[in-house]
Amino acid sequence: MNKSILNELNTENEFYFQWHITEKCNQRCKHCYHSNYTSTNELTLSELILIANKIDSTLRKWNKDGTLSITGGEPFMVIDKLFPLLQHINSLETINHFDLLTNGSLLDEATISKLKEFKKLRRIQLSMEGGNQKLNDQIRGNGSFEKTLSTIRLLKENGFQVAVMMTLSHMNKNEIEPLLELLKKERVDTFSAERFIPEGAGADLKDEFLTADEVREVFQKIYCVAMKEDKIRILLYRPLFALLNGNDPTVGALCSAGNNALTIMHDGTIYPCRRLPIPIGNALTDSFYKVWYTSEFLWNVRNLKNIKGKCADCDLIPVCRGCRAMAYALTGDYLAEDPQCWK
Amino acid sequence: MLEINLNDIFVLAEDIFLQKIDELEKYWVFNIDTGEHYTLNETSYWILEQIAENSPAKDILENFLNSFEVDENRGEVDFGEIITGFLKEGIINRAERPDKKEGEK
Repeated sequence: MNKSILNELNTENEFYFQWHITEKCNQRCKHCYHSNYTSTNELTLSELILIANKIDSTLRKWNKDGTLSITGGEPFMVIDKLFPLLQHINSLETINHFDLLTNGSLLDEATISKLKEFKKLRRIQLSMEGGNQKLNDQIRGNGSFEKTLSTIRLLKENGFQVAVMMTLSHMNKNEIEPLLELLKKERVDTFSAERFIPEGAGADLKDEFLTADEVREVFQKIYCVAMKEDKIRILLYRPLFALLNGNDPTVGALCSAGNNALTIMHDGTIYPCRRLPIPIGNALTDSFYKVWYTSEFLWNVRNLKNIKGKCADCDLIPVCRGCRAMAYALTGDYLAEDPQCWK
Repeated sequence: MLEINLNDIFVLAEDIFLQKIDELEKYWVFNIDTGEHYTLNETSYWILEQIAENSPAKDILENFLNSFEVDENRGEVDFGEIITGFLKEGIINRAERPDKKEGEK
């Protein structure tokens, strides 16, 4: 009998929480994974603090470095709760750093100045969908391109690290290079791309879903740029990137579901991942131990022998296993093969 | 070493959760209240499964000796050590025996 279990379930030293403190949002992006913006049963500040303390004690027990992304909806829509929560998170020893994921539209000089007091705030992540205004605004709403650029400039002037994420679909699959050129000019620090999953508000956009060959083409493009680019860091730790170079640990990553991450929603509901909207507990009423140790869903995805289709026989399964959220959204079976895998 | 009475019945402590992945030969026990967690070998896990079914210690020992084909003396010692370990870590408790007399251990 020994106590090394967590390192068997999770070989990483970090544990990641993506925390959606509100569903309220002032934008209506076409591909959004939220289907509702009413934020019913949104938690109070004292409830958020209670959950932050649970995160702290759990990480202490597991001897893990905690990383958090605080997001929404749009987190700055609930600024009265956001700042005290960040102040508390900033004081927790187990939290190594946290990021803010925002559309940037509510950030002004005063807000940005206040963010400077949080020493553990590593990065602020905004979203853009391409290098041209028309396409970006078609997806994210009128005026969002210019507003995002002005927020990026303000953040950089104030010394923040800025990340930009794009969601890959038919609409913007040819926008990688134009967007990266723009981001380099704006001194953006990191870039990442997520595959569009038809769920939430984007559930009806099935035509925007990329085929496996299209994903391969786009990922190859991103990988090639990443290998020669030194002005902006391009993050490649997502499932399927391992198909391009399975020997490089910085290329590709295991799906985090059941591995090293949990998502907390505005009402405390816990999902394995934001893109996998299967409730596995509630952060307010359940301990993270209970969720992590007893969730049938989590145990099903941890057992690689359960993964079906071509993923089951793939030699890359120890480092990839596809995106469980993509499998779920497209087939209704989270153990099915990743429908966008081109191998 | 704690003394094991074969007439004892053991129970899993509150908040204890067992989990195994047979295909990968992985066995665990978790405390969902304190967060404590242990990896087990197949034998220790098997014993906890028997305890979870409220089998008396002597029945578990008998099944243990038959199932794992171990020498009786060696098996009894191993069984006692495993049970003692579980008691010490708070994974199991002694249940009140219906036949227990006052003053009896």
